[in-house]
Amino acid sequence: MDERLAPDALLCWGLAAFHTAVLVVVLVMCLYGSVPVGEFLAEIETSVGLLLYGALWGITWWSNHRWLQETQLLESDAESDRDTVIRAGFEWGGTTGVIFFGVLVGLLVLPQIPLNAIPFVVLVALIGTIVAFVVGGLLGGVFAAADIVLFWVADQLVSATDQPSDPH
Amino acid sequence: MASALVGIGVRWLHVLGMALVLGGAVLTWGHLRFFADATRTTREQELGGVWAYEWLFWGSIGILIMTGVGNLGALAPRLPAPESSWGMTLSIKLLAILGFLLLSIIRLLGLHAYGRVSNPAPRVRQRLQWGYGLTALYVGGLLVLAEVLAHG
Repeated sequence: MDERLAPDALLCWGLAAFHTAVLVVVLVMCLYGSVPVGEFLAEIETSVGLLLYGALWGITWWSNHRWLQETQLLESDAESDRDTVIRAGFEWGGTTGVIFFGVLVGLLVLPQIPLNAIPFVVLVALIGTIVAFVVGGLLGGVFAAADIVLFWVADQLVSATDQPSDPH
Repeated sequence: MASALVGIGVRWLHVLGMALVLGGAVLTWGHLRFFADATRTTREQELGGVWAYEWLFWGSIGILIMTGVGNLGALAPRLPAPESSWGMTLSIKLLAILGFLLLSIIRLLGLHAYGRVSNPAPRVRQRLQWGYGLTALYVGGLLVLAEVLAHG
């Protein structure tokens, strides 16, 4: 039986919304400065865009839950624990990347390809899956490292002036 | 017709999300400031409403970012260049949103840590209260940027 505790549901909800929102805002900032983002956005139907964001949010919520459950981040103080948190962040980030890539292909590519192109698409999708795992993993690792710092900052804000309970 | 309805729905959700974030922050600040006296209320009474707001807040944040990008898409492909004054305002707003997200997650993690402390100091509780006041003020600033982008 898994003895690890279930992570706090609100924390999981908040972290998932935070990770998804930061990723999308940074992406928009990078695209806006470098490519004609107007043309890029015009290619995607609004309803499809909403579906994609909803999918990324939902997958991130699920993977954040598994990541928090696996690492017990709140209890992790030692340096070795921090390494475990970041490594797990890479693994779950990679998983998120692969699932989201599948959603992207399913929503944007599959409806538009002819039947005779399917073998080629499968080949490209296989390569894309590996790329999605690496990119998602790197993002997951960066977010995990940032979260460790954010947890520490929040802990300092609360515990710096904490009055311990009177043992008597 | 269908795309026009989607566009109206997206804008409606965006405004609703903003109203929930701003109104909820003011109410939560007021709750901590005037009603939830830590010496007279249980922990549940003190923090129940705050936890409820955080659930609502992060749901609204997801909706705001999702519909915000949708609003940008509605302007496409006639999105002004980053060098234009509209583009500069958008860049400032995006940076301000990043800062807001960062401060907000620290507020949530702080609330989580506060909930685990058995006997929190009044100063810590005051910081929590300020966190919600600051959230309301920050959202007010973001609203100004949004208004400039929408109406020039």
